[in-house]
Amino acid sequence: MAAPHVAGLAALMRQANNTLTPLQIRQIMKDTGVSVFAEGNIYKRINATAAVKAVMPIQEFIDISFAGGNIDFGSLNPGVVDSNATNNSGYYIQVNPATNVNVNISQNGTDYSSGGNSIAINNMKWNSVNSLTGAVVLSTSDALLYSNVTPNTNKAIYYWVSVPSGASSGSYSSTISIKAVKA
Amino acid sequence: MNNNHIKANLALSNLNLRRYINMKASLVILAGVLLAFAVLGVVHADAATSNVQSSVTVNGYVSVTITVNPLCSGTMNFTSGNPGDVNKPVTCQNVTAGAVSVRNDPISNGNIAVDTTGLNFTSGGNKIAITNVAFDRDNTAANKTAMAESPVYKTVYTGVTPGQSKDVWYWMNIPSGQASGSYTTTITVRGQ
Repeated sequence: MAAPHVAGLAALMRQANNTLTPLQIRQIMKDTGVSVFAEGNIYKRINATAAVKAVMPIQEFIDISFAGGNIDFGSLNPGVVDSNATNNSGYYIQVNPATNVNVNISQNGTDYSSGGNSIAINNMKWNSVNSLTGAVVLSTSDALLYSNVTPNTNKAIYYWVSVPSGASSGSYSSTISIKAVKA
Repeated sequence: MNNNHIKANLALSNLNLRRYINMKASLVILAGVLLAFAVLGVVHADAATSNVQSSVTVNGYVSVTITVNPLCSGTMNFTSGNPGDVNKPVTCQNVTAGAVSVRNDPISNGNIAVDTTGLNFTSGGNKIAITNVAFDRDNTAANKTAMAESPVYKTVYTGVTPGQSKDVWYWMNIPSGQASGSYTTTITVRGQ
């Protein structure tokens, strides 16, 4: 094969994986090359696609999503304690199949706000089962939900909220951030 | 070199040219793919975050507790009096506590107004108009206001904030010539 082709392929392989040595590049070109028969001999013709694929490192990939829609608690009066979200039993954290490592899942939340009024996020609780027994208070800092979750797994989650006495009327909203990192 | 050799060489040249073109195209496509990965950054993600909105609507809400002075034992009693008596107080009210206390509970998220009304007193076939009863916001009767017959309410307080308690004092006049007897009525106090 022409030297410019080999040099070009080598450059692409180095771009895909810059830790490769010249000897490794040559060996991978040989290993992935296509055998051709000419003039009574067997030669290897470089296969650019196979060579670059062979050197691309498989990198850690994590993809999660939240199913069940927004976490809505409907209309509540001040002083209400531990009212469940309207879609409790329908919320899941999904570790999507494309993920290739086990993950630890944590969450945090912002305080609820409505105009100039606020309700602290620590009025919200979550649990992995539909019971307030053992429910955990949310905070603005990350707190671990699940450890070592395998790819292609759904983890149920349930939420409750309390409205402080005297909380001003209004429509409040908050953002809950659910984060997955390699376990 | 005969014609067959020339044709064979031409065929070989065409084959090499096609291989060259194919190889060049493959390299260009690969370079494009790698560039796309580099630009879009889709190859590597070692953490992922999913944000979800949470919402709750808090209703306008007031909770009011109305308490008759415990010294009244459940009944506002003006005790006995003579026709022509004025400003007879409810027996249980005093300088520190009115006959009725109204509290806007701390759980509320809005202010309330306190108002009151009442029916005329009756005793057999006789009556005393409720307008002979007046209310006040202290124990002096200096700024009392005459009541109106139900369903007309008269305002006692406005802007009572959550957690605040307000007392109401009542006073009664017995009209001259009023027939003797035990008169009763119902007085209503409302916080809203």
